[in-house]
Amino acid sequence: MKIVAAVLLALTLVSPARAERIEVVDLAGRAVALDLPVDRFVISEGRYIPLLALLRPDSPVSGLVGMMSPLGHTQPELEAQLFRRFPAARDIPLFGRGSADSVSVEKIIDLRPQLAIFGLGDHGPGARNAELLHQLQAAGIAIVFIDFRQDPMQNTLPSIELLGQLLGAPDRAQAYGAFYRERRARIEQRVRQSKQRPTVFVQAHPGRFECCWGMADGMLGPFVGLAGGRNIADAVAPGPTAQHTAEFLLTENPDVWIGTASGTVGEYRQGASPVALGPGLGAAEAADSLKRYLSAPEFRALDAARSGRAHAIWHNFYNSPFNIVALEAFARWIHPELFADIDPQQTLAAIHREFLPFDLEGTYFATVPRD
Amino acid sequence: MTDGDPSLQRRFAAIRKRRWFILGLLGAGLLGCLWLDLMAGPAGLSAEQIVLGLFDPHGLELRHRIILWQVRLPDALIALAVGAALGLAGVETQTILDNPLASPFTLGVSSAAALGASIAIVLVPVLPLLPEAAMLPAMALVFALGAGVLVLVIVHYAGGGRETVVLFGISLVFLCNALTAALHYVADADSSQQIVFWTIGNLTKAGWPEVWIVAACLILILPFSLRQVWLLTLLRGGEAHARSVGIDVARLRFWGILRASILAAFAVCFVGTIAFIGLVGPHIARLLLGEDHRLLVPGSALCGALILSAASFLSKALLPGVIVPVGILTAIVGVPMLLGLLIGRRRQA
Repeated sequence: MKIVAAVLLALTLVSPARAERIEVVDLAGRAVALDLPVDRFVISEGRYIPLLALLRPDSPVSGLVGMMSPLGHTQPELEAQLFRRFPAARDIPLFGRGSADSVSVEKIIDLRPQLAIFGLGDHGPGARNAELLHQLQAAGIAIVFIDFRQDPMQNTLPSIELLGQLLGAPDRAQAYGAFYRERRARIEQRVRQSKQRPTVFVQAHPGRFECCWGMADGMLGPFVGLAGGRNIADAVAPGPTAQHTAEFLLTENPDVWIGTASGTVGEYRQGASPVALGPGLGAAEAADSLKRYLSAPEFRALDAARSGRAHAIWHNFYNSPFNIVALEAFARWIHPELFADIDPQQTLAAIHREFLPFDLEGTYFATVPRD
Repeated sequence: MTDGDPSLQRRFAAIRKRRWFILGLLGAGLLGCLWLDLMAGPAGLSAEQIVLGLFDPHGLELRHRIILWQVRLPDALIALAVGAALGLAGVETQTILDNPLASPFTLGVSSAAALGASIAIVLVPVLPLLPEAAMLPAMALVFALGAGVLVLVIVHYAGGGRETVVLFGISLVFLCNALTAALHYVADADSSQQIVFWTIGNLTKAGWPEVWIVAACLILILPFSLRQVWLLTLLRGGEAHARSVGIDVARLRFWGILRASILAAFAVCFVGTIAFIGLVGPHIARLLLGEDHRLLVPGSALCGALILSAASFLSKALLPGVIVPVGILTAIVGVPMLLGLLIGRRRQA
């Protein structure tokens, strides 16, 4: 009896340390086998830290032993919040800078991760970067690709669920998935009931890039169709995004104009031209920034700009697990009568309240007032 | 011989006449291209509407007025001004450096402009009194002119030696490209993309102020170039020959490079580094008009404007509703023109 007890005790002591081998298929369609639990991993871009926080709100960066670029590259204010609450996040080593070319494979290997998490079409190493993938695999590092950018509507939840599984937080991933699915289903259902398809132009980086870079079937472009609109750039653009003339915009005269604002509060206060949204910006300032941009003569002649149907949305939603708020915003703007009860700002607040260890600061949506 | 050979005189007169005729044709072709460029666009404005709108803007409905006056006209006119400036700068550089492969870009002007623009895009410097939107062209201009000044200093100290000038200019190109690459390295992806598109060259950035500035620069400098056409023609006979008849070649070179640098700097600072025109515009003009700079100088400006105007038309017409950056098209338009002329000349010979 004593022997049996000893063996059982030994087993229970050993089993947590004993690795569980699992096999998953990542978002690039690659079959990946690795041992759980994952105690050490790296990510390509710091912008995936909010996702890590969603899965593990008490310790978002535990186990994160390196990343290519810091969160501050895209969200400096959120990074400051992260550093305040989780000081360990300051010391995460970087193995590159802004692009895949800057990645040091040697540095990654030296960081001894079990797992490297990269994104499809993000700024880090891509799935076609065979040499780098081969080198990492040879060093015993498993690689999985997630995706919030190439096909955000299809890949967002599978990406979150995959990481939930690998990082030991499947229930958190499930909970967020339910939250997300419920909201998406509501939009899909109501859009199906409506015959109307208002025309929409989604302009990337208004004020930063010259007029008019449209999102066709890339980035936030496909959200237009899901939200019940017709994306006018999609019919003419040869690629995922393309530059159109102001003339195209004036000729098509879309019912709804949506700019993806990449300006920051600092730029806005300096009087710079990029339409600004995001942390630190008040609602009035955000609306003013959009109004300032739309006061150019070619926009003054657009019906959307005069009738209160020109809007701005925070550019970073194009590569974000929280892109459901972009879909909600699009739906509300394209079909105000169908979606009067939907408030993307509230959804964003709910995501922060229920899923994230961060406070929501700033303004993420703006609408230019009717003339 | 005092009366000259009448048949020779007649032939010379015939050649001269033909060349003036070709110059006239180039001018007519340019107007044709400008018209095509003004007609191109998804709004489907009729020829009648455009003519009416040009003379009486308020006769058009608001949307069409904006399309014609704020979208199409500035783009079409900046194509002419930038093309002419680059063509003119090209012919001056080629003659003065006695090098058929030279162009304003050989002097490092465009690479320096790209470096200035990249600094403006990546580091976003702020200067008092300068609006944020003017920062990028201002930086591009200052750097381009700076490259010109550096080359002029070299001209001065090298006593006008043309190999030294070309070598230094090309070194400057490499240096500026390296520094721009370094900026790419520290830039985020969006800024990098902005730099890439800036260096391809795109006319849609230009509005009326830009059109006036480039046109004014061209109009102010062209008379000075035209004043030197005799000396430039003489220089084509060889530097030693020009010196032997008492021309101060170093001085000529100094002023020529100064003019070319200013022209190229103003041409690229608003629309990005549109390549190829400064190199091939003058060659097309030379094939058509010969070496007489009285015709070649205005002819190069016309050819430059013609190529860029045709490219501008194509940039809108290739994919309706979408803009193909004009810098992608200049060589695609220019190379067939050049090839056609080369083959035509071969057949004649």
